[in-house]
Amino acid sequence: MNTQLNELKTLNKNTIIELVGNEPAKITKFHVEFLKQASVVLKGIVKSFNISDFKELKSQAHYLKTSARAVGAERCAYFLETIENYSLDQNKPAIKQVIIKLNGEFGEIKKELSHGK
Amino acid sequence: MASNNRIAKRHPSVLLLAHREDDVQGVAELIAEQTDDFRCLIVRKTALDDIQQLAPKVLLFALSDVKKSICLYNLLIKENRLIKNHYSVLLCSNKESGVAFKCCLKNLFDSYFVYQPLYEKFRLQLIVYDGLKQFANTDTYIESLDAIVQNQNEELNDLIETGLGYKTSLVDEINKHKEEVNSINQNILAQLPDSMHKQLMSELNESHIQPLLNALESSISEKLMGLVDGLKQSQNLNSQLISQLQQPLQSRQSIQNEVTTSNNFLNNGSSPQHSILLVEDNHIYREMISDVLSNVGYEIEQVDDGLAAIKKIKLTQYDLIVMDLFLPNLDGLNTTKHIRNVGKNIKTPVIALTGNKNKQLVKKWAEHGLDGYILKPSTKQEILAVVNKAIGHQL
Amino acid sequence: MDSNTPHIITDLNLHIRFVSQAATELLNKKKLTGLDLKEIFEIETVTDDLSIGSYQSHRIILNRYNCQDGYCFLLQEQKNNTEHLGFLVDAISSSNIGVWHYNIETKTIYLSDISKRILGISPNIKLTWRKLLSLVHCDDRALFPLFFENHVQFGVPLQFEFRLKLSGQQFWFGLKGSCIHKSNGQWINGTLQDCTVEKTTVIALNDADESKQLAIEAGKIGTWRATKSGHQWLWKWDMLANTIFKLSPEDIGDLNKWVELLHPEDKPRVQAALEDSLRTGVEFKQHYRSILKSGEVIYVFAQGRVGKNYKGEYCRIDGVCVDQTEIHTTQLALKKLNSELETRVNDRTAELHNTLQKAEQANRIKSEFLSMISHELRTPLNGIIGALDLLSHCPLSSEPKDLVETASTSANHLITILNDLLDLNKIEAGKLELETVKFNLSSVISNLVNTFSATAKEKGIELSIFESPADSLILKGDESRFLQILLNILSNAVKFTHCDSVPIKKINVETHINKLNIYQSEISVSVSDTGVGMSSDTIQKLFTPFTQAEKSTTRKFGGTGLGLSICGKLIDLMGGKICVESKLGVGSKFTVTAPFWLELTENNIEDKSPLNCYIIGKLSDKNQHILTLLQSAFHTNIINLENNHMSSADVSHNVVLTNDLDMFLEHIETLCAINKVIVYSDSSLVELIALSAPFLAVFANQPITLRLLEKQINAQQQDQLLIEDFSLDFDTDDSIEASIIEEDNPSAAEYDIHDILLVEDNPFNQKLIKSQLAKLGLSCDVANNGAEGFNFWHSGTYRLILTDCHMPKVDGYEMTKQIRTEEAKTDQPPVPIIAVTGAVMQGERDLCTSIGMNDFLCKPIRLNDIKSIMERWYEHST
Repeated sequence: MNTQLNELKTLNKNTIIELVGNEPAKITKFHVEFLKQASVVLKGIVKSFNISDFKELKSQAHYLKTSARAVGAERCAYFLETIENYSLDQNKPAIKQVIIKLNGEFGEIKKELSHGK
Repeated sequence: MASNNRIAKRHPSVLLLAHREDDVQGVAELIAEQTDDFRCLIVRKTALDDIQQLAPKVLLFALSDVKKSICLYNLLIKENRLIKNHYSVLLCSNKESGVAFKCCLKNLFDSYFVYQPLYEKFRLQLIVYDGLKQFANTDTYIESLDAIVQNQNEELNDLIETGLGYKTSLVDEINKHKEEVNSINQNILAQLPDSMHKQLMSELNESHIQPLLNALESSISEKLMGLVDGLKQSQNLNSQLISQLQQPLQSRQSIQNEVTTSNNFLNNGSSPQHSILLVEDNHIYREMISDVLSNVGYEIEQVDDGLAAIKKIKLTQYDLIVMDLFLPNLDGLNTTKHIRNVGKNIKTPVIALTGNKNKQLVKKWAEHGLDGYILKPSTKQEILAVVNKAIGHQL
Repeated sequence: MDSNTPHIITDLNLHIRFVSQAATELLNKKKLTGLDLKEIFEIETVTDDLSIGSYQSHRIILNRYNCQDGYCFLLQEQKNNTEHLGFLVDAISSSNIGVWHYNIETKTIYLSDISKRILGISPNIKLTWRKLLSLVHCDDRALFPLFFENHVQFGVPLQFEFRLKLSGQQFWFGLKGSCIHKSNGQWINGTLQDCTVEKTTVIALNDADESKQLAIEAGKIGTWRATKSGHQWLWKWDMLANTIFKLSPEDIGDLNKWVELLHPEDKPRVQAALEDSLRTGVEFKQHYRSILKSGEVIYVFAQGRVGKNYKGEYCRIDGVCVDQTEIHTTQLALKKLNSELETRVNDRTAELHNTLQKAEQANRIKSEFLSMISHELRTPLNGIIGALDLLSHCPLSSEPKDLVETASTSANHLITILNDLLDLNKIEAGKLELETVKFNLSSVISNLVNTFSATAKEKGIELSIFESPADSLILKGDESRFLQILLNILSNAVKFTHCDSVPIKKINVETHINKLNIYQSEISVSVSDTGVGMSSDTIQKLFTPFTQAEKSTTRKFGGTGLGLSICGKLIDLMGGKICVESKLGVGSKFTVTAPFWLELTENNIEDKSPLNCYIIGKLSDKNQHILTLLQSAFHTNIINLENNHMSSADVSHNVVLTNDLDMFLEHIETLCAINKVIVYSDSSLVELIALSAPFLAVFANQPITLRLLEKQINAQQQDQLLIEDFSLDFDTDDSIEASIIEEDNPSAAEYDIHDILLVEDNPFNQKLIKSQLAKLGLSCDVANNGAEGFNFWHSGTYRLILTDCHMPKVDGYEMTKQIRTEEAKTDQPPVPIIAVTGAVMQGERDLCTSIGMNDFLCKPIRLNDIKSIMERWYEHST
């Protein structure tokens, strides 16, 4: 498990290429779409976290996980899945840390996208 | 985004044309309520230039009489002042409704509406929505409706069910009348030379079409009024809910379109395209899948939750349904149960979109008739393999 | 003695032994022997030898004589004169006057009981003349024979006073007497009186008088007096007064002589005052001048008091007069000196003022020139930067893009040079004043590190901070200038470490606090890097303006070469120093040392909260530093997880220090159970630990500051998350978004009415801002000056006004005032007005807001600046 963790990529470009084909314009569009979506959903996640609505928290995390996987944001998807799991336990301190890490991960994605360009 | 709106206002999507402001005050208010993206223009000498510059998408002609409206519209088209795929609506008084209907039948106008007296306010808004929907990049309108639809409750659903009931009969009736009129017209037109056209038309008006149209009209207004009454009865329907109700009304257009397209298919005898209903709440992933599938020639319809899916399913038959497991409002499992019980898709294959962790749930789902699953995120090849296999099975 | 003489003989105890015949007859009683004499006669003693008794209503005088074994008393019936004698005896005894008599021939003395008492001699003692004399004060002994003999021989009255010492105290006695001739020889009878009180009073009086006289003479004080007799005042003054006025002795008493001498200016006043005093009894007190016969002018002070007679009439006046001429002349001289001094001081002040004004004027001209030059240079430069910024947002192929980047770097460099130049000039002109504000070293370090941590990470430089964990000292000094120095040095370190030729890129920042005394501490911050280093020659030239280590480095690394020379000057101002150690190809170490005042008042030591520090595996150097910091800020309890299984107290702060992933994973179960844990490890492991334990907060142990550490630990305490911390700001990401904006905005509509107004005189800037706005999908109207701007505003409806501040005719400030006044008059909501200014002088901002401008755009204007301004003021203005 741990060795696998180490292999998780911030942005696995192959995933999205395999999904929509090697079309840079399209891929860029989906990436930007994803970041926009993430920005909105992340706020929703924080809101749900603050009012301890774990059910909503889980469903938001799940929602975002779908697109995170699709664009190849592997670490991001991992964190989102972790949030889903802790939401079932209602482990708030743990969720808090994961959300913070998730936020950092979005920053990394953004950085990678702007540099990659 | 906001800045786009501002600029758009300089190019209003909806333009209402009138001779006197007083004539269209009510209409203007209604449309303004519906969208900001709207402007009213009083027709003067410079009107042609003005309209050209404004480049509206939906035009509402409400000049002092139908004849003048038609003249203006013809002029606009002749001089090539309008954008290509605009949507034109003729607004008329009650007296001239017959002529207006006729114009629409001849595809001169896309739609007409009786605005003097102003009774069917919702229909006007519906027409405007339909007009706007013609344009691919008016996502905002559809999105806003989507957002509203997501908030629907059960009570509203019931209401929609009854609404749909009314509409089916309505559509049948309309089709019947349409066929009659079509045949009559075609007969006459085939037999007579062009010079006689007007005379014959007036004769037809008096003896045949008018009574038919009257019957049709009264039936339409009766049914619609019944529907509106039903809607009014539901207690907490504020303006937001009322606008939601335009959703079922809106579908009427598509139904008509589908009827015609299917007719066309039959007429042309060309090979049918496979239609797939894609149910996924995450719009990015939905678009990706849709992209993958439409690229290989499938016709895709997208909805974002279980309820919307059920609505579609009741009216349309699909060759395949691809559905997410977790969906807001109604999840994939329960939606599938519903599909298997009601509507036109009892036998349509269903493919699940799921994360690898939910195999248990997928198994349970499979008992209700699952024809395959796609793990998120799969590659293009994997997706196409599963889809092709499912469709191939059915055929 | 014969029996005819009535006498009684007694023993020494006055018991009667024998009564003579005559006495028996006189007394008419036979049996008296054995009885007490005193009781029978109710004796009153007059003198020792003379007693008066009474017996059966007869007054009897008893004269005592000594006889063998007793006394013999001669009895004598007092007949008519007994009354008179009794009175005399009473008077003598009550007046406390002692009587005595002295036999000149026998030289025997008799002293009465009173005499003996007042002389302090017991009544039973027999006194001889000699003995008596021996008691007298030695100086007065001679008086006795002198006076006695003179009296007896020449009849000089016997009356003198002498002193006697009694029980250590000196008493005065008055002695009087007169000589009488009796049958039994010459006697001197006299009285003796205690006159100590009178005598001492007189002596004291004499002393006082004498000293007064002495004082008067010494102080050249003349006395004068006048008495009223009838209606006439009789005047008199002493010789001293006379000498003061240089009058002749015969003039004494003639008031007119004195009046004549009075200075004509003072005469009426003094005369009136004197008359007034005599009439009403008011004290006379005057300063006046007199012109002496010699023509000399003297200054006199006279004072006199009026006395009343028994009827309450004012009948006398006594006074003094003092010659104050000397004092007066001295005072005059002093005054003159004073005024001379004053004028000299005034002259000097005026001179100084003039010089100062000249200096200020020169200074003003200089700074005006400077600011003008800077403005002149800035305006075109700002245009260049803005244009380049705009250009960089256009989709360009890589070659022109590189060129644009180079140009924009150079332009920014030019702006920095301009700023540095201004700074340097300020320091050299002595215009730069250091502030004294309270600050905390850890916040300075935190600022310093925050500025560079991202850059360092990006450039692959390992930045480590080792703060000295001094108990939060509050320092006083110029925080911002100190920070400026540190920023400069650290930025150099980053610049010269980020270099291909440097294989290991490390920068260490270390702080050290050396407490000099209770008022001062010396702060030293050292920045050491593994950069390119310098030769000792170049170190010499480091702090000279415009020299970088080598000419080639300017080309290679950029920079003005002004930074360090500014730092050097600043640190000089602060009284500190910058030490440089460097070796070519190895690295450099800059140590900044400066003394700061300590804030003494705030010394409240807060309670440290408890913290559990779990250590897993071997403690690395960096983790050791974390532990040191923790111990300085918290009450830290160290727990080694391998040999200690959870015997710790449950506290809210929990920190794990580890550098061993495998061991960490072994203990992960334990850590799960602990509340709010933060893990610190070397940065290479952070990512892996964070992924392995996503539920834990994991931070790198470097670069870290005390501030950051505390912030991280405290943030851990919060249960909620702040939504603001989670906004992914995509607006700034132009590279991704640019293409999309492009698509959404086909060329902006031309014919439409614009609701943004730009007021700007420079056509180039007009063009620039217009195109920047167009890039944002906005368009504007342009006015060329303030007057035009006002007209535009007046005739149209604008949602936002951008205005330059400095324009010909009506400038931006004036226009803003006009608009605000007009708005107030017509009750309109104020339109947002944004100042577009190139000036950097402080106070400009305050001026803008005070006038009613809403915000600022600083030239050079970058697309992002104008974008955020639009978001703030334009999007929300409806």
